[in-house]
Parts: sequence; structure tokens; C-alpha cells
Amino acid sequence: MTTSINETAAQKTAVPSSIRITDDDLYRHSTQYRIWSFTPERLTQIRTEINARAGAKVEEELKNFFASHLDLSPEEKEAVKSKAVPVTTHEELLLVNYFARMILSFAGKMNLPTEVAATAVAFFRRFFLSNSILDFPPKEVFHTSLFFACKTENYFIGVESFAKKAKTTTEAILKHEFKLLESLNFTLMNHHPYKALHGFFLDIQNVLSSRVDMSYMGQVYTNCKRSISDALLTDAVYFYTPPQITLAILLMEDEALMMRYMQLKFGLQVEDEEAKVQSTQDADSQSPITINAAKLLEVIKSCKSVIENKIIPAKDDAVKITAKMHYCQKPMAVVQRMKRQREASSTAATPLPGEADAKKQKT
Amino acid sequence: MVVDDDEKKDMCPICKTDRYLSPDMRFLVNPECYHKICESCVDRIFSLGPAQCPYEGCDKILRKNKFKTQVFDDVKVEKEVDIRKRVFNVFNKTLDDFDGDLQAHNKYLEEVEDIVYNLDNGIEVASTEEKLRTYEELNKQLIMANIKRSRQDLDSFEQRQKFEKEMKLKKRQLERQIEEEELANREWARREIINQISTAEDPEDVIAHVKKTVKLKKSSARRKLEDLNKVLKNNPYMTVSNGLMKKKDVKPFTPFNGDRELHKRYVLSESHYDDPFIKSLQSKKEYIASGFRADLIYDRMLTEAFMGLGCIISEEMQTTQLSSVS
Amino acid sequence: MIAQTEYSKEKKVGEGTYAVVYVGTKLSNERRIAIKEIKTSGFKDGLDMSAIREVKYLQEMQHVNVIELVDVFMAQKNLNLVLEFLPADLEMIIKDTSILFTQADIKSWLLMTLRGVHHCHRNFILHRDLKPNNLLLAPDGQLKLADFGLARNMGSPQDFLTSNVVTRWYRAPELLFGARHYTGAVDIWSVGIIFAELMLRIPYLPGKDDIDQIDVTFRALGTPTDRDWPEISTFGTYNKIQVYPPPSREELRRRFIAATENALNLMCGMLTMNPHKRFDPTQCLTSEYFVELPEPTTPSELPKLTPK
Repeated sequence: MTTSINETAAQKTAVPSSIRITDDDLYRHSTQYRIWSFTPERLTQIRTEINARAGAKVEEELKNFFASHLDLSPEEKEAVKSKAVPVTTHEELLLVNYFARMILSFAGKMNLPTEVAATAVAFFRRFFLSNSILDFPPKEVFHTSLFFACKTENYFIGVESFAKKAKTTTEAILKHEFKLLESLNFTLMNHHPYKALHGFFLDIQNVLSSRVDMSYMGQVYTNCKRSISDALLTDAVYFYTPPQITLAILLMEDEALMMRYMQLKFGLQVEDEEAKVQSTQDADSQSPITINAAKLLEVIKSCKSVIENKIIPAKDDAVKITAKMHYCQKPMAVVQRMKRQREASSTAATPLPGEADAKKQKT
Repeated sequence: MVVDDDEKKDMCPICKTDRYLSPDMRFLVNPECYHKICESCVDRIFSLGPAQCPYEGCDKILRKNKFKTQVFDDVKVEKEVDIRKRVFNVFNKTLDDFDGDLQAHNKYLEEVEDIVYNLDNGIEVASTEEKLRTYEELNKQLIMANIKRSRQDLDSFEQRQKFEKEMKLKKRQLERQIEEEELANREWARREIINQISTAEDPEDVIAHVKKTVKLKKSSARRKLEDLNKVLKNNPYMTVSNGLMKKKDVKPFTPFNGDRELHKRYVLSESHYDDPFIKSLQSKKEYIASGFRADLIYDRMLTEAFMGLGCIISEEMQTTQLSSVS
Repeated sequence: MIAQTEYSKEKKVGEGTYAVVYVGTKLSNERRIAIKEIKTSGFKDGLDMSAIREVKYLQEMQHVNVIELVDVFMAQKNLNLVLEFLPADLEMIIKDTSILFTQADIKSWLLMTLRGVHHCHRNFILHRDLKPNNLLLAPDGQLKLADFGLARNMGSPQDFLTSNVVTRWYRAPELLFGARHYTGAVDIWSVGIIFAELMLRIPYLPGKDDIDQIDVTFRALGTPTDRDWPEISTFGTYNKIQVYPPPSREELRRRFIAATENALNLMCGMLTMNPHKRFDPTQCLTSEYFVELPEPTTPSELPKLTPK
């Protein structure tokens, strides 16, 4: 883990002091860009590799398990083989998302600031970009991420009172703190789109001055803020920058408003005579750093589709995946369960141990 | 007008007063036509306002405040010098402005010479004047900067002289102090030796010991002098090379060293923002007292709104991440 | 861990409440480095806040006038920050009476400090502990802001900030009054005091304790009133303090004998009582002081600590 930061550090030294540093460059200096931005292909590759590594470990352990339990009956062997299947990359993603979503609602219940919750979600999701859920059950990192986010976002809560509020123990919270810090590549700064949203809220008023109804804008702002929290659970955060995500969300919220703004602000050309005339009046569009408006729209639209394709894992999925994890870690549990079933074949089926675990987590 | 050369020199062609008769007489010329008129004629003719040049056949309208003393005997030279001054005030680029490109600089100088020649000889005056004006319009900033620079060169020369003068004065004081101290030390040593010799056994020993003590008394003034010499050597104003004075830094001073966004993607216009949240904070006493500035908050939010808008991750990350894949 | 073998720890050079600092070498390229080993035991709330802040902010900044965080690694459950090695600090230079420095040198140090502060503020980071011994000097003369253990983001405007920041002598008046919504102006005040200290070569406002600091500050610079600092009476302590008249320009000239008028203008801008009106980094950097002569000394030609 420590070496990967060196690799990325190579990118950061490439900026000579004499050239002008634009605000975009400043973003390029950020760790969120340098370390936590990916192309979709690269992200898939990372997840596949992590899953493959953990899967191989499970296979290895199963082999050892069979080797040390030669007394198992063929049916028992079959049962273990069918239950203790390593989770797939997609299943890992589902479970991580399931818990990430829980962090948001949990932070809401604890009355934590929006940015703290957003950071906790980012930490939690990034943790599983270098660790598999098979090695670190998400429920063990859940509180750690939230507690650690409180600290990094200057919203310090003592670990004891945090544990009391979260109904867990201080040991459980702190157990993986170092592992979390290390998995985060020791980078702790997050740029969430909330401030960008606030900025656009102001700029829209300026650009579309007197053409927008303020109480309506207030409504748009509130809705967008909620949508941002949702978008933070998608991979858009790895593929796009906070301003791009914000514009995508504004586009989802009110397409007409957004298109109007883009025309006036960036000189976006549309089949609308009036807009064309006005776009040329905007002096801003002449400045050298203005982006190609058509290109920007393309980026925003693709960002929008990533956000809209969000995965909302069902509780059932989470339960099934958790059970799989459980059997992978404890193949013996499959055998024990069969034995128990045989012994009490007449009575009603007892719930799977894994399911029971999963239910406990959700309280 | 036919006037004898000698006469022309020393007699006012208007009032015919002769310099031999009134030695404090001064001649003035007006750059409009460069006709020489004596001071008292100028006072008489132009005190009430602009008037036509009294020379026969000259229809220029002259103003009193434009008259100046004639520096050169030859009016032609006077005229050319004036034109030069005017043109060079506008075309004031130096070799530095061409990044040391000698050829480009020479070409520029030739162009400027052409302009001077044209104006001096009345060739295409209107279009040349137009050229001068256009250049002045387009290069206002550069012209101002160059004027400032040449003034600064002069300033720094004066400042340097002042600095060196002060330092030298200090140096002399220190040297005098050292001299006095040494004198005193020698006197002290002499007495000490006399005093001790009267009681001691070995006079050689006494002398050696006293001399050593004096040596150890390295005066603080001497130390200061050494420091001062160091400062003089690293003269903070100028470095001297080839006997020419040059400014230390050839690069212009950049306060931010490039660390500033000059083309913000937004215009901060506080009056257009209806932000109930910020406005409510702005009116709270504890915020006002703490130095809360709504403009800074707006600026921050707007910066974040556009910071990274132009970073297209899918393109920019393509190369770096592909290489790490392989 | 791979990283711990990448660096050698050679000599312990300092020990604080939460860290031990070693001088060492990066083995791959022989680069001199400093390793700050953060003690992690004995903190019941897990990783210490100062360590978190230092890592968080230094990772984001790359500027010639901000200390470089070369690497971070874990070893034996300890967090190690690998920092560029900076052998001296401005406090040592100020205190070393054998070093003579000129107005041009002061200008150069001040310029580098302000550029560093500007970069922090540009990244929306408050340093909150600027003082001469946190301004480190590289062998090539560059000055670098260090110790980000008290730094924080300029958060959301509604955040409450703690006023218990900045070492006492460099603490801005609003902090002395306990302000909870202060701005980057607190850093500028500290730089103003450092500027004064460079010119005087003794601490400008050395208060003996927090109460005395208020007295010393206003005795030197005048007690602000409701007129030049609106709502100042909101602060509870304000009504208990002694009223001093502000110093006249002539008095300042006499106190800072070598300062030019532009230097005094800049210093007064940074030491404006009302934080709302105090200069921001942009105003400071575009001050006439930096363009008038003498030019700031080239960093490599600045006075250095004489080896003992």
C-alpha cells in the first residue's frame, strides 16, 4: 500500500513552479483527482483483481479444509461446495453499496453534518477498492469509517460517546482505524459537490438574473442536495469531477433550466435564435479557459447516465451475500447445519446462521 | 524673409532688439513652426491668448505655454531633437523587450528612424502621425511600464548611492573606533608591563603574557566591520557587471509566481445573489465581529463550482492508467 | 511493510508530545529527509487529530513554500510522515545575533511566507499556527510553511471554530476575544507580527499570558472601537479592557526605523484590528513594498545559520 503512494507521487512532481496554476490545475493536484479518479476500465480492473485475489484465497482455504476433514460424507462435501462459493465482483459491489447507503441514513439519525456523512461514504467505498469484503466484513468497517470521517472533517466526537450513540464498542470502532487510513493511501481530503452546488446556485442567479423565481430556485437547491447524496453512492465520483456531477444533477432536476444556463454561460449552440444572440453577448465565453460547451454537455450527459444507473441492492441480496461470506469463512458451518437439519427433520427449518447474522447487522 | 546669418543669430526678427544691446535677452521657439522670437515679444503677443505667428507667411496659431528655450543654435537640429524625444517617448522599447533578439530590435529601430525622418522632413505627416497615435493606443501598457522602468533605473541608482554612502560612513566610524581602541590597548599594555615588571622576576614572561591578553581582546567593532564588509560585498541593490549597472533579476517580478487563477470562470456579483442562508449569517453580531465576509464565502463557493470543470478524467487518466494496467 | 526499509532513521532531533522527529536518508536516492514518527499509543480516541490534520493537508499541497510530504507509512503500529529535510527555521536566524540581515532579506522571507499562506488559503486551508519557528528554511534558501497540526479547512460558514489556536504572541485580536467564526485573516495577523519581528529582531508583542497579550497588543496598536470594528462589543472580554490610543504614523516610524513608507503600509494592513478590513494575501502580495527597491534577495543568497 505504501508504495502506491510513491507511484502517484511521481505525477505530482511534474508541475514546474513557473507556469500558471489554474483552478483546474489545483483540482489536478488534489488527491481526489490523483489517486481516486479512474477510467471505468481501470475501476473494473481494480475490483476484479481484488475479488480474484480474495476468491483464490477462499479456494485455497477450502482445499485445506477438505484435506483436513477427510471424514466428510460425499453429500456433505457437495453441500459445502455448493454453499461456500466465493462472492463475485458484482456481489461485493452490491454489499458495499448496501452498507454505504446505510451509512447515510445512520449519519442522518445521528444528526451528523452532510459533509461528514459524505466523507464517511467515500472512505468506506474507497476502503473496498483495496480490500475485499471476504477479508473485511463491511459491518466491521462501517462505524470505523463514520467515526474517522468525524475526525477528519473537524467534527470531533469522543470515541466513547460515539460508541454509545452508535450502540457499539470503542474497540470495534478503533479496530480497523489504521487499516482504513492505510487503505485510503493516507489521503483524507474530499471535495464533495455540495459546495459546487451552492456555487452554481449563485451563478445561475447571476447569469439568468431576474429570469428565475427565487422560491423555485430554493426548491431546486434542496432537491439537488438530496440527489448529490444519492450520486455519492455511484461510480460517478470516480469518473467525474464535483462540478460535472453537480451540473449532471441540475440537468436531471430541471433540464430546461440547465440548458438555458449552459447556453448563456458557455455559449452552448442550440436551434433557438434568441439563445444564439444572447450567447454571443456573454463575455465569459470568450475567455481562454472556457470549455467547449458541446463537449461539456456530452460529459455531463454521460455523468447523468452513470448516476441514473445507480444500484440499489435489495435487503434479500445483502442477506444472501452475507450468508455466502459466512460459509466461505466457516465451511464447517455448512456441515453442522446439515447435521442439525437431519437431527430435527420433523421440526420447522431453522434460519441459516448467516441470515441471522445479517439481520443483526441491520438493527 | 531675407536676413543675414549673423543678424539672425542675435537679433529678434520681430522687435529687432539686438543681443548686444540687451544681454539678458532670451530667444524662445514654439514647436509648431520653430520660428525664433524673443521673450519680451512672446509676452507681448501671446499673453492674451493664442495668436498667429508674427513671421511673415506663417499661419500657425501659437500658445504661450508651448514656447520653450532654444537649446541648439540650429533650429533644424532643435526640431529634430524634439521630434525624437516625442517619438522615443512612445516607441520606448529596449533590447530587453525583444528578449535580446538583436535583429528584431534593429528592425524596430529602423522603423522608428523612418518615422522620425518623415516627421522631420514633412513626408506623409498625416499618415505618420496616425501611425504614432495608433501605436500609442495599442501599446499604452508597455509604454507606461517602460517609462516606469527607466525611472526606476534612475531611482535605484540614487538609492544605491545613498546606501553605499551610509555604509561607507559607518565603515569609517568603525575604523576610527578600532584605531582608538588599539591605541588604548597599547597604552594599557605599556602601563601593565611597567607595573608588573617592578614586582615580577622574569620581564620576558610578563611582556609575553600582556601581549597575549591584548591579542585576545578582539574588539567588537572589528567583528562588526567584518560583517559590514560582507554586506557591502553582497550589495542588495545592484550587481555590477562589465562596469554596467544591471538589475539583479532579468525576470519581471511576479508576486504570485504563477500561483493564481487570472481567468475566473465567473464574475462575482454580490448584488445578484439572493442567498437567504448567507444573508442571515451576515446580519448576526457574532459573525460581523469575527470578521465574516459574505464576499469570501460567495467567492469560495463559486470557485468550487468551477474548479475541475475542465478536467475530463476519462481522457486525462487514459494514458497514466493504461500504463499502470500493462 | 516495504516502506520502512526505504528510509533510514539516523538521529533523533526532537521529541514533542505526540511525535518524535528523526533525521534520515531515503536510501534509493540518498536524499536527506526528516521522519516524524507519530506516537499512537495512549490516545483513547484513536489516531490523534494533529496527525490527521498534518497528513490531510500536506497531501493536498504542492508549493515551493510549503513543506513537502514525501511519503507516509506505517511501521510497528506507528504512523510515520516522511518530510523534506529542512535544517533551520526563521526563529534561529532572528535570534542568532552574529547574523546581519538587510531589508532585502526581510522582504524575501516575507514574500515567501506570503506566497505559502496564499497557497494555503487558495486551497481553503487555514494554517492557524504561523510563527517564526514554523517557517523552515531549506538549504537553497527557500522558506517553507510547516507544522500543519492545527490547520483546518475553511469549512462551511455555519461551522464553529475553536479560538484556542495560534501561539500566543502571534494571535490575532479576534482570537484573543474568543471569536468562533473567524477567517483567513488570523493567519495574516501572524504574518504581520512576524514581519515586525524581522525588522525589530525581538518579538513584537510578547504577552506573558493570555490576559497580558490583550494588553500588550492594544498598548502597541491602540484599542479598537465600535467605530473601526463594528460589533466588537459583542465579545464579552472587550468591555473589561484598558483603552489605549492608536500609535501615530510618526511613532511607528520611530519604532521601525529602517522601514520604508510602503513597508509600514503593508505592516499596518496586516495588523489592522478589524479582521474584516485586514489585508488578504492578494492585497499583501500586490503591495508596493514588493516592487520598490531594494528587490527581495534571491533565496540562495539569503543569510544562513553559521554552523557551530
